[in-house]
Amino acid sequence: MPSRQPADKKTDDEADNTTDNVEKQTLPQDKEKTSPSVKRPVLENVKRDTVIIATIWAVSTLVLEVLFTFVDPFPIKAAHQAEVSDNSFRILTHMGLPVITFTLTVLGYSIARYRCPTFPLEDGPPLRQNTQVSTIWLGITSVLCFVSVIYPGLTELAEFRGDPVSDLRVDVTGLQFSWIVHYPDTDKTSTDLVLPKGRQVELFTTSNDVVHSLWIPAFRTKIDAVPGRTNSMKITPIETGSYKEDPLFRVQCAELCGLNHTLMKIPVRVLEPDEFDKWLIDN
Amino acid sequence: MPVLFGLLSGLVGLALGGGGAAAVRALSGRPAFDGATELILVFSYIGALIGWVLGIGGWRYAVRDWIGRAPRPFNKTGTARYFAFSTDHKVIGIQYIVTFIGLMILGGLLAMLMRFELSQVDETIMGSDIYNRVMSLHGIIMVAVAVATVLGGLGNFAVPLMIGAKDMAFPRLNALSFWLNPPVAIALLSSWFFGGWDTGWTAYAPLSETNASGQVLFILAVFTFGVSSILGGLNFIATITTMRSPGMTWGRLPIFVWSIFAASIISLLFTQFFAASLVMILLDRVAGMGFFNPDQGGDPLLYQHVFWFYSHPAVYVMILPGFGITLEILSHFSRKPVFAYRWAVASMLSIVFMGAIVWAHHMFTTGMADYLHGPFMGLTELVSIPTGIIFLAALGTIWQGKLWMKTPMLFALAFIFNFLFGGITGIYNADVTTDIHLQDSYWVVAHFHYTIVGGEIFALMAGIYYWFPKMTGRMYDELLANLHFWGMFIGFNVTFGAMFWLGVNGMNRRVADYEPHLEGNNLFVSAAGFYLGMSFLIFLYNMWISSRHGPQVVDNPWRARTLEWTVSSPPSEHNFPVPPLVVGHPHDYGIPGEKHAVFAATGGAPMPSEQEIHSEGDRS
Repeated sequence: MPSRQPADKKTDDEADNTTDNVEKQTLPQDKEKTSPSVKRPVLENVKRDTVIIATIWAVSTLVLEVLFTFVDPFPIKAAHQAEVSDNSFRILTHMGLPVITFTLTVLGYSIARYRCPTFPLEDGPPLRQNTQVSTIWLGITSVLCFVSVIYPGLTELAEFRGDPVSDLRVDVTGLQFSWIVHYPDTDKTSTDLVLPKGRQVELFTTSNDVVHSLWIPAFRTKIDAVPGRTNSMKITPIETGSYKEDPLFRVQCAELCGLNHTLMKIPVRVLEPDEFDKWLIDN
Repeated sequence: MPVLFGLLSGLVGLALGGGGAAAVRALSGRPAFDGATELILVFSYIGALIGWVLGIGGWRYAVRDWIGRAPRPFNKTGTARYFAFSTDHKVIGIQYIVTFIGLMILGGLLAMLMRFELSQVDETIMGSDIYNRVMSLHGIIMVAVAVATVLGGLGNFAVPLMIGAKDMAFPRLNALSFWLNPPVAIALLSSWFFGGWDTGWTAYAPLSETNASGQVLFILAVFTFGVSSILGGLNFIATITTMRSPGMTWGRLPIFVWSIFAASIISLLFTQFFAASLVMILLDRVAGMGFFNPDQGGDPLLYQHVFWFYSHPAVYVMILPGFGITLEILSHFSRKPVFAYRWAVASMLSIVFMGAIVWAHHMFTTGMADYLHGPFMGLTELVSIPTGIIFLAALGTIWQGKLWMKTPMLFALAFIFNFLFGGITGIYNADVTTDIHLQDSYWVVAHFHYTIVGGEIFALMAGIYYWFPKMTGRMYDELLANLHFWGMFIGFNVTFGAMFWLGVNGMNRRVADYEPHLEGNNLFVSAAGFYLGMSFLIFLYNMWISSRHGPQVVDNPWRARTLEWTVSSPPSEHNFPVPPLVVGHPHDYGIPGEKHAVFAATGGAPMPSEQEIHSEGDRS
């Protein structure tokens, strides 16, 4: 859009004005006067403004994109799912930054350049529409949208779901206001969620009363515990850790479930695989 | 006093309804009251509602008509009009605005209580029980404010004026829509005496089937509010379709009217789903039907599907008029036409229909089938395309304009800023892999406050300042309004901006307490929240003092083109002494001699025929 010649623009504007003139046939006294005077202000400073805005936009986008590449704003990633989720977050932010900088640049520049402290005695140029700009805009937003649906959307979702077969099954039951963890392999019941590092675990949840939601912030995973049905999600922990070291290692109820919803949380511990095996057998 | 009479009549209805239910129980050999609190509550409410509606004006305006006697309107003048059943859309609009701004202040005070509790780890001023109830009340009050203030308030006041109509299509229905709201407020507030309710405004089953009886009053109140919304939507659609003045073609509708039209379609078609889901809960509770009870073969997820089938489109009821006000004000204060007007209209209408097919993005973590994740993610992200067109229209309108930086313009520009972040952060909620982490966290709290408060409420403020001179005939104080704007803009962005970080770092929503490592940020949010709250004091003071002592204004202080500025401030009872003839587009600034409307002098030239008006066309 910026590289177009002013001469081209003029024809565009003329095209717009001719449609306007068709309407004005009914107001004959204005016809001759308006047509030439309408055209002029449209073209004023368009090139200058476009160049300045494009420059500010390019520079600010570049700076922010580079900055964001080196900044890690995320808390501990203790599971493969956390890496996937944060990666999606990162890509979406990379895609969103140019949109943010573009909008803010046009907004800020327009305010800075075109503000009038008192009532503007002249009207602005009668730019009713520019089909080319609208079409380009629609094209860019559509491409951004479809790209983000496919990547990170669908591709990362497939990654997030993990392998069909898991190494370990854990059943977690929610009840007002706690969680009960059960390991069917050794029929062990626990009040902490203990998981092995490096193995894929499938968590099965259900609820004894109302809807709860099992959230482990360090893993970026969440699944609701719904009475009358069993839901599942897969987790592959990649970091050892415990609630004492980092409060993100916890199962937190994320769906409002009544009086002590706030307190409905239990610690999570990720152990080395051999330690975990010992823990699992040890009743 | 009509209101007092309505209340008395409501009390009689309450006694008849509740007493009747108890009497029928007693007659059928059951204990009259024991174990039937909720049943009696329901019938008392129904009785009270009928009594109230009859007493406040239903009898005088409608029932007398039906039984063949002449209706007896109140015909109040001056301030008394606002406290009586009035069929004047301008009175109703102001009734809506004042009532719901009052409720917004109440909801805001509840938010202050919540932020006070959350300013420190552990219990500060209230325990979990009170916190949950305060949070739930805050939620539903603010949802009602967001649904009704712009649509019912500004829409009622401005739409008939902007299309050159004398009034709404169904004035009595319009008054009924408003007067259904006081029982809603009373029921919500009195639920506190029945244990309140602690399920948030979403009222997820089965929690909402096992908690205190306050939940029943919540259901009845929201149901009534829904009736009011449906009637309001119906009325707007009928008004905009049939009451446009000659020459006001669809292509010449001011963009705000289009946005109200789009929002009304959603109101009319989708509110039923929320009402239905709540009625099912009520039947589960009172009649033991078990729609959502797995022990009886019900399904808790069913509630969420039906609930979100309305409640997602509902956010477009809130934001579409926000788009409309913003584009309207950007056009008038940039002295330029709305850029890509037709594209913007098409976007708003497509948002209406896309709103209907994205609801399950609220449910990615509920365990619904995995294969639904992809489609609902894709459909949800599609909404960014029409929303992007609205941004194109907004930026194209201010591009090269003459930006007159009055308070309405400041709020409209702030809308672009806030909604940009509200919209972009929405993508993270639409994307399944990020949403699974962010769902039900403070990220979501920040996101929807950015869209609804940063978007709609900023637009509401823009609209209130913009139409204030038309409503009152006086001008607001520009300095105070500027102070309010900057306080609100900075306070809002600091408060809710910081909440994004809280969500990513593991703070779940709807909690009275949190992990100690989040304390610093929470204290910061609370302090910013109090600052945001205080900015509203300036607003209230400005409205109060300016509506009484502000300088008198001319008919068109903004020199805007739309029809409401062609009549006196405030407008006379029937708006237009001479009916306007629309001959051009409302937003066509910058074309010398181009007119939006002409007024035939009384007894002057005959009105042109329908064909002559339309032959001018409006091809933009």
